[in-house]
Amino acid sequence: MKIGYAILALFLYALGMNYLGFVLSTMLFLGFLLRGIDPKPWPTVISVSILATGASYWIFKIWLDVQFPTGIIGF
Amino acid sequence: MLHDLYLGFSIALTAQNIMYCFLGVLLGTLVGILPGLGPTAALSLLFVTTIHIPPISGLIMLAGIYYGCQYGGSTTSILLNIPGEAASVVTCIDGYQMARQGRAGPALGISAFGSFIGGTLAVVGLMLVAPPLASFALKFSFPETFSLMCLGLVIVSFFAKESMLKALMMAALGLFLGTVGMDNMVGKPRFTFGVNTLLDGVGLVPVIMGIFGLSEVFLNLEQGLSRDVLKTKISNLLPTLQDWKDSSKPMLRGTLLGFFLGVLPGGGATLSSFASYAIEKKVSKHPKKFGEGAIEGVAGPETANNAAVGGAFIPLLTLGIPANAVMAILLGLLLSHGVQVGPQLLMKHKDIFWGVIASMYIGNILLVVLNLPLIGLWVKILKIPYPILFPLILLFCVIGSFSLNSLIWDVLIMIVFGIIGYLFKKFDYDGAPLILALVLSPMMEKAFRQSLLVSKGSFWIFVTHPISAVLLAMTVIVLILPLLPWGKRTPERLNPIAY
Repeated sequence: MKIGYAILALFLYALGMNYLGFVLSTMLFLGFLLRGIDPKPWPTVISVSILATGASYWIFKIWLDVQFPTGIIGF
Repeated sequence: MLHDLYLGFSIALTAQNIMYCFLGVLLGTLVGILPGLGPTAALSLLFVTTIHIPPISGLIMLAGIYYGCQYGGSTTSILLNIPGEAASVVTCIDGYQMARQGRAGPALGISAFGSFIGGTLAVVGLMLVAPPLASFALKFSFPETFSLMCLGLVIVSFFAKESMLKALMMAALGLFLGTVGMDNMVGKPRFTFGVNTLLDGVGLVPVIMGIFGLSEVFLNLEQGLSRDVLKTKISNLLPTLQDWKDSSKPMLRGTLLGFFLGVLPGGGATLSSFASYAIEKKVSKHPKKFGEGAIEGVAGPETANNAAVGGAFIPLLTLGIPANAVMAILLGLLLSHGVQVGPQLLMKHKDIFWGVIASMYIGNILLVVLNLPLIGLWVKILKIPYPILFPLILLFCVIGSFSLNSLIWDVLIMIVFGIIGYLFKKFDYDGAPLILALVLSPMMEKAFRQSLLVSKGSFWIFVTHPISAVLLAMTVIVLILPLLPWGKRTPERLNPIAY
């Protein structure tokens, strides 16, 4: 069951990234996994999602120059 | 040789390469500590970071991650009874018992020193063995290369965790996956079903991330990881004189064992740590103590798994054949930079070979310096609960497979292989032969078809070349070995600890 959710989240994340852009889709993806599978309190969910998204954006996009999809909101 | 080593150090000791070495061992330790993220997945994730830097720096960093991981893995085994990665499984047995008896400090200390000794001595061995082996391998032409790869794949399957038949099936599947894409001799697409991205073949990194990264997370989600860090004060990291006396011989045996098993395809760190434990238990004067906190049971395997890392570099750097999945990634790194691998590497890229060797001396010292004082910090990282950790691991897997070519397609391939890899694990199929076969497949096919071009279609060419004939004969022997009574892969041999 948990695995099913995780797989679903992965597929939606991969397919949705083109439309929502990397930043938004990553936050939603992490938020869903943190809250939906083994529920953590909301403050943890929100802070971990934002921090992890920011860190990976900085490392991979700005430092390593990976071309992430920008989607409709532009980043 | 001293001159070459001097060249190596002059490369490894540049500020840039020291930084990459440090980064590598630091990340490696971290990855080794985190359960569910082994060296293979970590290396494929960090592959992208090596694209923009020179191949030697990339190789230094990735190598650092690999042996750093062997160090880190022991920490979780000792403190949590959860192996950070497969090569530290046996360390759990006596290491955790030592920790429960309040001897976590000496256990961590002896495994750090053992790793240092095993790692350093193996590099000396690598330095001595590789050059003559490479000059012998220069005699190899296409038929020999093909036969050598056959032997490699069969040995990998022989050492696989479960039944050899299953392992051979995985190898065959890997060979087949490797044929997807553009035919490299006549330039026709094969098995692409009109999908353009498949023209370049099924990417190695997405497949590895799926089979070794994702599937591990799925398995942990299913079983639930309970992680209670032992509430013990870690004091006296320096082992006592008695500890050293007990450990010195296991360390020496572990080094030799690890080095030679590391050279064999499919041998590597995991197998050598298991074998070392079994041997120590056999030769010990008090085998009853094993399982109840014998320091020999920590010192031997921890030395062996680090020595195996040095050994594993030999087939990669001299023959261009990776001995395990990690080496396959390193091979991919060299190929992607256009470095010619194989016996010529040692002549044409002296800087790469000796630079990596020198960096491993430096890295092993860095690891001891890094690990002993920082153990408190590592324990803190261990306390991150899995429900927070696993979304981050999944995110890394997605980014890692995406970042190489910026293709969503690669992410989808990774997810699919994650599901397949999970099923493999459920039904006891070992992923390693598949990965190795996938890497070797294009090279093997090329060697095979070139041989047949030379012989105008006659298969006898593989037997009339003497070296090739010997290699093929050895292949056949390894294949029939499990059928013979004294070569049987009994449960006792596959899992020496339980007996």
